[in-house]
Amino acid sequence: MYKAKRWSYQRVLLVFILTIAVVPATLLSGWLLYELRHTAIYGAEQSLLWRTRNAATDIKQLLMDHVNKLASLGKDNTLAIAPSNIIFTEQAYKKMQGFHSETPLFDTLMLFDDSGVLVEATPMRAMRLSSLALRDEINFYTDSFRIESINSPAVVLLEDPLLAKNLPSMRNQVHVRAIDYSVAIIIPLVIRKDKIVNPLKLTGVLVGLVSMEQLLERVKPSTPEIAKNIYMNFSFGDKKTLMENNSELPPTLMHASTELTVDFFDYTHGNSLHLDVQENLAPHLSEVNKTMIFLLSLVAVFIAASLLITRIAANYLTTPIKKIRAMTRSFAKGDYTQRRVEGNFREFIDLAELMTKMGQKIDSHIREIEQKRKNAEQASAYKTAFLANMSHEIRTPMNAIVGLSHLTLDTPLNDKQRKYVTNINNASHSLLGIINDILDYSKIEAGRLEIESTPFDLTEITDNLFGIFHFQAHDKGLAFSMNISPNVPSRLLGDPMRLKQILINLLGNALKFTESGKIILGIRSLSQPDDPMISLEFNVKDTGIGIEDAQLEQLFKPFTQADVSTTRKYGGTGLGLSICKKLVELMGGHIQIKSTPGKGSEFIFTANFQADVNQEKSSNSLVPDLQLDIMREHLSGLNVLLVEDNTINQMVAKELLESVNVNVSISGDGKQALDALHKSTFDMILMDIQMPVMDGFEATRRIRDAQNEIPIIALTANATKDDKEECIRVGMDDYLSKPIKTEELYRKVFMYRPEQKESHKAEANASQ
Amino acid sequence: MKVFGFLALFVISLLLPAWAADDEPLTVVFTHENKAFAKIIRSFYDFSGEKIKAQWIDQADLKVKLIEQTELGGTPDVVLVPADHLGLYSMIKYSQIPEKLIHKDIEKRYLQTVKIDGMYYGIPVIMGNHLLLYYNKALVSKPASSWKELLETQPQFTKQGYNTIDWSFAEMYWFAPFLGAYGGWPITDSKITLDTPAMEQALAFYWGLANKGLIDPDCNYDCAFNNFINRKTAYVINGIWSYSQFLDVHGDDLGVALLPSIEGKPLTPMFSTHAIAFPNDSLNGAKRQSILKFIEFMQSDLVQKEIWKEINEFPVNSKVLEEIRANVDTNVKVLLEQLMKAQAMPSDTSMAYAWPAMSKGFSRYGSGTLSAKEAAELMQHLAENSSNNAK
Repeated sequence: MYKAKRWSYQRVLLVFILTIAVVPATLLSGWLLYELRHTAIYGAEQSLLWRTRNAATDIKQLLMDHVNKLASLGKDNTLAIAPSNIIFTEQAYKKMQGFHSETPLFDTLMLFDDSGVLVEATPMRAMRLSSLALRDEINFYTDSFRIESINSPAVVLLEDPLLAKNLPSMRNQVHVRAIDYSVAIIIPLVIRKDKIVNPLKLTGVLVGLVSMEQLLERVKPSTPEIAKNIYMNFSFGDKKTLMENNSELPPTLMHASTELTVDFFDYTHGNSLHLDVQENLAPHLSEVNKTMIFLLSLVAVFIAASLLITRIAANYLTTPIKKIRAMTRSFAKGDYTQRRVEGNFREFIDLAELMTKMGQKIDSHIREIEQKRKNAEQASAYKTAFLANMSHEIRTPMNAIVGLSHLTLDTPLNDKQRKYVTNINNASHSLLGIINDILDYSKIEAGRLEIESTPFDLTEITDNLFGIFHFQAHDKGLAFSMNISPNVPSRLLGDPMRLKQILINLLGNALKFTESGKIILGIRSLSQPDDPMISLEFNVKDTGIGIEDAQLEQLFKPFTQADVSTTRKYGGTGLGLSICKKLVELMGGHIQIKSTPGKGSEFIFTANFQADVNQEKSSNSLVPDLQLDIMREHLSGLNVLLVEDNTINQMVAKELLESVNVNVSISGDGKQALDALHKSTFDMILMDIQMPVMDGFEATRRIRDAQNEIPIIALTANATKDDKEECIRVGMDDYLSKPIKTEELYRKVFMYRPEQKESHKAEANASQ
Repeated sequence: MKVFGFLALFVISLLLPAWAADDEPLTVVFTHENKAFAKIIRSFYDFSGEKIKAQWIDQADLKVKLIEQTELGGTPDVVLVPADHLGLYSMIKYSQIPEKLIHKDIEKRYLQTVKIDGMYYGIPVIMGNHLLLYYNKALVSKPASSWKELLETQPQFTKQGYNTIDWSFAEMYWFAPFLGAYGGWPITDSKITLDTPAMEQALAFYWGLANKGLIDPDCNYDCAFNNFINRKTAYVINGIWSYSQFLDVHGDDLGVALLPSIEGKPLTPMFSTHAIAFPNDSLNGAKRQSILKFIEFMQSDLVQKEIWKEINEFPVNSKVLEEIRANVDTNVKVLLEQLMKAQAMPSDTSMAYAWPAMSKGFSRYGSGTLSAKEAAELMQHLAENSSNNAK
């Protein structure tokens, strides 16, 4: 059955609680973490911005300080004169040198004369510096026409890669490379003359080249821990970066930029110089990261705790449901025993109590039904036992009636007496048939009817049947024939007795209900030659009275015949076909009937057998189908011990055996038999089963325990398979059912007579 | 040097008030490298009974100081300076000296060094000042007569762990003889003549010596002096003023030779005189009488002889010089022989500008900044510019 995939109650509960508790908590935590990080980054960026502004202010201050310092130097008379009087250059150089050593921010100090010729420079190697950009600037300042207007310091940004590259301070720089720019502070050098007109004379200019790298170094944070995370740079106009930092930059950088505006800054291209500062963001986030990790851990713990609590709660909530589920499963398994359901929820307890009551009710009903069933079974068993007992009890007197009537017929009788005894004998045989049917049916009802699997010769059965029904049909003026297909194997494994029983029943019915015409037994194989299972189809066809269609359905029901009048006319118990049907089914086949009223009937049944691969004749085949007279001759003189408690049976058996000259000794129970064996020697024992003092089983066990191999043939009114198996199991050689059939008695005795037994042994040894 | 300069200023500043008063000692500043000169000067007191204050100042500093202090009245009464200082007579306002104050036994040749524009602005006291080739006889058996020979001996000295030769490479006074060898001279006919082919050739040859490793260009005066004193170098080119000091150290191992020639062209060292001069026209000032006595003192036979005796400098008095020549050894004769081959250092005003101008061009050529031609042109420009500005 299709079972829809649905979530469990516990899962739904779990998801529900997670949705209303964990998800909001997680979202809230996420939002808090985001805010925390965002705030930290914002704070760091603000800090960097202020740091950048401060650094820019420091740079401006530094530049202004150095402009002032250089301007002071420029006012020194020696320096002012030196460009125009070379004698002063040595002295000027020394002053420049001294000044330079005290102001390391200046990469280079250069003294130009009013022609723009470099007169002095410190350090000395700066004499090599040559810059067109600088020359242009100097030419601008040394233009005598501007002397009045430029009598003030200027700071210019020189775009001269060569100059920047060759600045003395850059010589040893590895990690920083100036790209194109240098900052130059230009101080006009002026001497005053005692003139009213044009009192000032420009002698040259003093230029201080400021290392941009030095500028940055000066404004870098003093704390190494902070400084190592700061990356400063300049940008100018579309030249984004003036310096290139070759050091490996960290992946997360903040950036801030501030314009470096100085009043006297004279940027030649109208663009602004910016201080760009980058800072590694990571250190700012370290504390935040710790907090985030702590918070995340807290959230994780919260989620884990929520899950745990939710699970516990879900378990707590679903426990009564589980108990109820367990209860219903028990109910489903048929366990309705009363349980005490404990729980914390009134609704579930009420439900459990209701279910318990329901279970109790169901249990009560089931027990009641069970009891009724047991009672019925018991009754059925009683009935079966009763039938069996009755059968046994009936068989015993029937044995006497049959046996005695048989014996009586061998005595001299007048015609009238013979007719009476013959009728008694026939009536007793009919009664015996009815009893056997009832017994079989009782076995079927009790489920105790079993099919044997023994080797047998089908030909023997058909021959036997032909022998029986050929003469009876002939006596009734009917023709009896058999049509056996050539593909029907003769050696089979199955239950020959039950097969024979079915065929006798069907043929008997055909004989019974056919007044004229013929009866045909047909057999054919439905299997292929190599099939291990051999399915045979048996067909009993007659030209009898036939059966109405309406009656066909009732035909195989027990205690039913085609017509009530049939019973009155033809007799019978009405169990035969029902038993046949059961036997056929037990043989793996089925039975059907085709009938036309007034024209005849055809019973067709199938039965399954196995092929007898040994191809040996059954033990029965060892007994030649001899004429009774011949057997009687061979039985003469045998000494047989008859163990039988019933005196009538003792008499019947004794008379039957003695009639063929068998010497019979009688023991009333097993114990007496053992005693008799001690005293005398016998050729075989005919042993009843149910006896007082010691039954036949016990007596046989003791005989066999005493290593006595005397043939023992059971005489039992219990014709069940179990009884027969038990007989063989305790050591008996064969068995005979009561009431004793004369021919069968003689045949069995004949089989186990001493000379026959020796012949048996010789054949057995030869075959080994 | 800087400290010393400040000290000098300080001393001068202390002296300034004294110069202004009559009873103040006569103040004399001298630049001669031999500090023993102070002893001679101070003996003026013994000569005249007048107080005298003698102070040594580096001559480069002195030029500036004198120019600066002339306007302020802070100049000393007398300076004893190389004659080329006198070129700045207009700026330092040196007194014109009447010929009658000059000793008659001073040769005209020497008087030329103090004569500018037809006027005397100083009185020579010491003559010479020319450069010589000193050598250590313990290392050199026969002195090299040419630069080629010197270059050939270089590997041997290097191998032995000695410098072949040292001198104050960057000073133009040492460069001038090479310029002279190529026929050049800073001042010709009172005109600055620095941008000449001779200058270019001289620069090329001079720096070539350094580039060939013969001379360490960074070795200054003290370096060269000390290396020779300490016997670390085989040769040294130094002035005659060092003779007595070298003699004291090396004794008989001291050898003196003429400067090596360049492919047969003899080097032409400058000779000069140390002259007394009177800045800010002190000769005509309050201490004229004392100064006149000092003039007489410095030209006296006594001082002239002391000059040779104490500092092994040649006096300008020809009679005294003759006496000395008659009694000197071979080395001294070489000193005198080199002097005869020397050329007087121009005492024109322009020379004062020519020296630093040469220095600038010299260093820029040496550093590779300028070519020899550009360097020569720069020298000319700087010297002329300053000279013109001074007019």
